[in-house]
Amino acid sequence: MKLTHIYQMSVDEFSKSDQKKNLFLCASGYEERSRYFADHLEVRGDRNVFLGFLENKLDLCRPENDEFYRKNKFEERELSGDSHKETYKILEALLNESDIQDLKVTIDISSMTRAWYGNIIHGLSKENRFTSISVDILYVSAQHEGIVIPSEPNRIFSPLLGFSGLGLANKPTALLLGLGLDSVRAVGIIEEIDPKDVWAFYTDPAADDAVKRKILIANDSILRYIPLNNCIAYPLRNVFQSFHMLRSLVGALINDYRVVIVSLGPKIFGVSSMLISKEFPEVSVWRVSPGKKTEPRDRKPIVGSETILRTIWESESN
Amino acid sequence: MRSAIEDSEFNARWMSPEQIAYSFIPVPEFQKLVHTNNAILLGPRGCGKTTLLKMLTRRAIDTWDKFRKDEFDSKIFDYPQFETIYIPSDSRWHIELKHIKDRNDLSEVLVERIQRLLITLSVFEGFLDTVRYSVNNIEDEIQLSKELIGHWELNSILPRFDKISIELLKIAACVRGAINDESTENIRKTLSRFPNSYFGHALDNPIIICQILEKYFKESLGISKWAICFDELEISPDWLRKELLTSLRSCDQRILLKLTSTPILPRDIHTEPARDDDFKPIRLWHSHVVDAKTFCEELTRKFIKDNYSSTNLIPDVLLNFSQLDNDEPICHPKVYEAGSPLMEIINELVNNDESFQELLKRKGIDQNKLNLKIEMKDKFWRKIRPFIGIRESLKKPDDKMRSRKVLTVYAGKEAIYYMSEANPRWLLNLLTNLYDIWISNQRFNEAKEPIIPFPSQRKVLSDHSNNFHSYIKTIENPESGLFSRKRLSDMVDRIGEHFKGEIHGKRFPIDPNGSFIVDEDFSDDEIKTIQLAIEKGVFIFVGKSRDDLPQDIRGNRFRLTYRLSPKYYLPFKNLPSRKLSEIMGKPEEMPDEKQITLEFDSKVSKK
Repeated sequence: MKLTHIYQMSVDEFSKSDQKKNLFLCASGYEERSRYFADHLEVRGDRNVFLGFLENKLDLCRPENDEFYRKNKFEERELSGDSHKETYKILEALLNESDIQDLKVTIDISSMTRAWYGNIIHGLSKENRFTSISVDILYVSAQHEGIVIPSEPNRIFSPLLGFSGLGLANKPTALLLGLGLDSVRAVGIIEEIDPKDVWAFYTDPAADDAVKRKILIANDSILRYIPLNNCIAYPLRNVFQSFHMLRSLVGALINDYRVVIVSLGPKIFGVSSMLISKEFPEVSVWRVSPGKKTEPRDRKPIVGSETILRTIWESESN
Repeated sequence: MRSAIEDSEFNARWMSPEQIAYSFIPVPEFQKLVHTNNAILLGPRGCGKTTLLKMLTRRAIDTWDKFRKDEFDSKIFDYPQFETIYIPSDSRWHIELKHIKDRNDLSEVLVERIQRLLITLSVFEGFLDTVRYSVNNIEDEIQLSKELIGHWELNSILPRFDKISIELLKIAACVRGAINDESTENIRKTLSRFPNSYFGHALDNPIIICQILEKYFKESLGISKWAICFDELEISPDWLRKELLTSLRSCDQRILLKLTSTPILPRDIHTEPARDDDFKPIRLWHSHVVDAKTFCEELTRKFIKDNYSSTNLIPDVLLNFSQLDNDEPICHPKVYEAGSPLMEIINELVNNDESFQELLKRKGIDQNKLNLKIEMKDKFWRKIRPFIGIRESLKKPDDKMRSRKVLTVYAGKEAIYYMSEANPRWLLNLLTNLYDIWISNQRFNEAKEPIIPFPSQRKVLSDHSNNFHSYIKTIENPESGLFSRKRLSDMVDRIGEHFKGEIHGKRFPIDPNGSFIVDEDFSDDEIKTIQLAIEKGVFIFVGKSRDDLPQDIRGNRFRLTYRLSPKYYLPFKNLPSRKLSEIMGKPEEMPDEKQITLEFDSKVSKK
């Protein structure tokens, strides 16, 4: 499938949209925001499925989330947060049961891992059974107050499966880094990837001003030495704009560099980078994380920070 | 933070051979590399391995010959008597090659076939880059292209080097598509489209290509030997490393291998007898940075010349002398002038520090009859000199024992040279940071020459040290478990704090430990952590001589990199050693991860 359209919707627009939802897919983790769209906005499809993490099953809000989904008759699937392949297999199995030509899927990625939603995006791009697929990607930001991220080594440090830009080392690497709250991780990425140039993306406006400040402070040592022109603020809530900022930069770099995108910040930046990688296959999207050893923290949703991105994929044979 | 970002600015990998030649500072190791034999350049990242390999290429040598040679009175190095092929690669590429296996559904054989194909394409690209420069008439280009196209079985393309390059990129794109595909069968099908020769031994293709090109190069350039340069051997796939290392012993006589690796000789070869007959190991790091002081000085002079507008500016003026140049027999005379910070501190110590007074007594030195200008030349004083300022620097402002004068330990040109470990990338990085500081707040001396005050220098060196420490936290030994003896950052902290304690304890130190010997007490997993530290330049091998090479980790002596000296308030000096097991304690004595996290959390919650 080929990504043909992408646009952003307001919550109001999304709620009032009469577009049918064949499938609503969401996650159940230890964060309260896992069930935000299903609970507060009452998002539902013809079929509703939640993916439960195999890890941390009894931590924080996980039992409540599971209970909510079960009570509302969501189907349940369970898989590891590190699983790179099973998410799309689950989706594929669900799709096999229908004979729809123009598929409409809604996915809440707020509590999904990059491996999960990366696999879904990759799987959809490889689909050839449908005339078109409309995928609504839902995301709500989390409150970061009081959260200090302890630095852990980069245990997972590699291209996301399905998003490898491996070719020849005939050009230097440009690293496009979506900054998060853990600056140490960013330092490690830059050292290991050894790029010629770095572009740093940070949210401004962010989910709230405190987050923006924290990101800038945490990454001060990086931002100080990246040329000013390479430090790019992107509006968190305006995914459409940030997608196009990232896309135009990739377009400008692709002839002279091998581009790697790493997102340490909001997941929605990660989604943009994956979508762009499907348009520019030589762009590599990497996953860098401390792996399973992350300490569970409850992240509450910021009401009003919802982001909804509609992507339309059409069969390449059309 | 330049340790991470700006290092890349000075990364030879992204410089053309011409750029390399323009900025090249000749080092004795390059003369060893130009000999017509196999060689392995050993050293941590950034120590100049790629620079030396690229400097061997015809493009670099021609540039040197044309533009740089005359800067020197006599011949600095011989020109290579072989044609050099640099195979393009980088750490990102090698990480991607290794992670093909992450898919889990691919057999080892299939993963290796993908890797072999991509490395073959890189070898082709390396050769094309060489012939593109050396072959400069169209008839020869067409003739050679035809032969390469025939051998590489690239059908239906025009016989031009650029067209071949594009075709190679198309093949790479095809392989990429297959890797990203869900279906293993598709990968197999894709690979089956290419000739078997693409999947052979790492040197099969280079040997055949050399045969093809031999006639042309012998006739027009008088060259009959070829040096194939494989960079980043330590992170390349296992099969490639094995094949290349084995080939050091027996290979086509026309082919020379110039390889790079970490400071530890690759395990596959170091036990082989008659090593020097097979290859020349060339060490590119310095246990004693003072050995490379001339190189640091020259590189700094070149940097100053290229960046500061002042024509006669020298490092002595811009950066000043370090107040504690530890490895020098005698410091710069200014350091001993009456009223200098060092002399002031010594006077304070003599008058107020009981442990220091005891020390003088033990040495039979009468504190009332001290003539420091003379005494300083004495061995005893030279020995304790580095600790004097460093102990002072850690004292709090309200400490009664603290001198009224402030001695800036981590500043001055020698401190910068030591901090860089004579690693060109790190040194340029520090110099650029210092330049940025100067340009934003331009300061001049009375003669209107640029100067960078010590406090600014100290800030840059301290940031550099802290950022390197941050980077260490991100490095993980895959085998590390809960116990901290396997975790690099914990190991480094334990060592750093231990040595800090030796120097900054209650009693004035006379013979503190500052290096360690890795004893038998360490498991293989823990040794892997230490190896990681050596590869990343965190631990520096301290040999018995400048050419001493570590054959193994156990039984050898190492020190912390001087990059971490400001972090732990340590001197830039090789100090006596202690067994690492005595520093680290038993595994069960180390706090595990959970305890550390809880401690961290409790601090957060108090806020």
